[in-house]
Amino acid sequence: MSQATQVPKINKVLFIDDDEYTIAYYKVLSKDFNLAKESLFFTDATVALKHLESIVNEYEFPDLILVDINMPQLDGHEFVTTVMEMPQHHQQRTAIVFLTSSKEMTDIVKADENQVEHYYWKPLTENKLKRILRDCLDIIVE
Amino acid sequence: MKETIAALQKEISELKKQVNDLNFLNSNLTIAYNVSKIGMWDWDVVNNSLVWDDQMYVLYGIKKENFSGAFDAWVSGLHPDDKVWGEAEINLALEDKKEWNPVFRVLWPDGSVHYIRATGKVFWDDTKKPIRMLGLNWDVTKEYETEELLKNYNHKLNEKNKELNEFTYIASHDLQEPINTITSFSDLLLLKYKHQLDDEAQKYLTFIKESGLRSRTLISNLLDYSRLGKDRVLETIDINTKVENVLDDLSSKITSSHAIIKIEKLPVLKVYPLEMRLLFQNLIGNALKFIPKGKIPEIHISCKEMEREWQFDIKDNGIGIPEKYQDKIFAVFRRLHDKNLYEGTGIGLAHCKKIAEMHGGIIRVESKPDEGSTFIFTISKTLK
Repeated sequence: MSQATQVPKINKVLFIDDDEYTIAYYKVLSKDFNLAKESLFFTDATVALKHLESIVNEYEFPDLILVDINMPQLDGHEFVTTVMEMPQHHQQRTAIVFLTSSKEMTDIVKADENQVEHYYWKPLTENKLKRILRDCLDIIVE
Repeated sequence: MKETIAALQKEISELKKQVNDLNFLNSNLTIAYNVSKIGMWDWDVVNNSLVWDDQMYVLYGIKKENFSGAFDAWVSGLHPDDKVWGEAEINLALEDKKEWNPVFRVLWPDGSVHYIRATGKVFWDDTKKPIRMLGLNWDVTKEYETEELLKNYNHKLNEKNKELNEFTYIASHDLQEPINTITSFSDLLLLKYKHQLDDEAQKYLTFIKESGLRSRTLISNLLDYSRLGKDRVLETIDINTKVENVLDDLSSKITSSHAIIKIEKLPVLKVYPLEMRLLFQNLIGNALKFIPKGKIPEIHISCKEMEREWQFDIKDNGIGIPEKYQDKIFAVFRRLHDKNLYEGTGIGLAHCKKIAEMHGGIIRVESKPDEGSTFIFTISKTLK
């Protein structure tokens, strides 16, 4: 486990997954890993979208969004398309990561079409988080 | 003169014999024709006169005196839904644009529907004007109904199969989530609270975690199984290269076991590449895995061309499979051995079966315990 005393690796992160236990796990993991100064968790992508829309100052936009694909209300693909169109997103260069258990070709192709370069399979682990930071944000964690 | 008479007599007797033969043939033909229940019709197109033989009236369920002997009389016997296109087809035949060999329905006066197969030949004059058309009719109701029934069953079967695949996919996909949670949290507990748990509690937790991991592998394999061939594309592939790729993947196992692998020249075939690789991976992997301790695996891969398919043989010198299990090993999650002895989830051969069937082929095994097994699978030559 990483030491909580260290400085957070990033400013702000969003976790979106419709399964509340998965979210509970992400809460523990991101806290132990000291991932971000501010971590927000959503079980409903529409609520996450409302939060992002309400952000006026671009620097309050998250550095990293980890989102599931298979969700009932608004699925990961729809969520991402909307976020990509937000002007704040262009300013902040938010890294968007699909965190899913889907190995469906259609999902992978769709992710690619939506220019989501980062596609990771569940379950999330501390090592996977390190890889995500390295690959998506050029942050190396020892 | 004498010679002439003798020659004439000979000729006459020969002619008589021929007439006899013809009569014999003719009577045979009449019997065959009557037995066949085929109706014959002859239509004088110019004068619009249609002549039927007796069997035709039987086929259309009407009496001779109720038949006007014109084209319209035929049309009036057809099922209402077949009148328009039936007439159109006849016109195409008269214009020499299409052969006349349809199946149409006739509606008997008693209300019953009968399927008729027809054939016919048109005769034209020098100006290509149709003058005569004649042909045959026969009843195909039984064949047609059986065919329809089969089509129906086939359609239902396809639907059920699709549903089943969909079900397997959804079930395994949705099961992943809770199992991930189980393994993730037991991990956290073991990492963060290890010192607060006594040995007994740690042992229980390890059981939970390992069972979770095992469920995850099983479900992930089941998911792979249901997804197998879902986005498949046929490609022309050199099977030698495919097998070499598989051997590369298995290289560490091959080196550590000192396995001897003989590969004969394999063909270039139209196959589903990913699935084909998985097939060889499973079969060669099994041959390397199911070997008595200390024995050096020997694997022989060969292929022969059959009339309709290619047959691949993968022969090993492993532990073999008792006869009573030989057709059971291809079922999903079927394991013959204690998982502590030989690892694996028991889905590999189920994959192989599905892949062989996807290629229009079959898979089977010939084996003797302690001597080895030969896995034989076929690939259809006419894959589309």
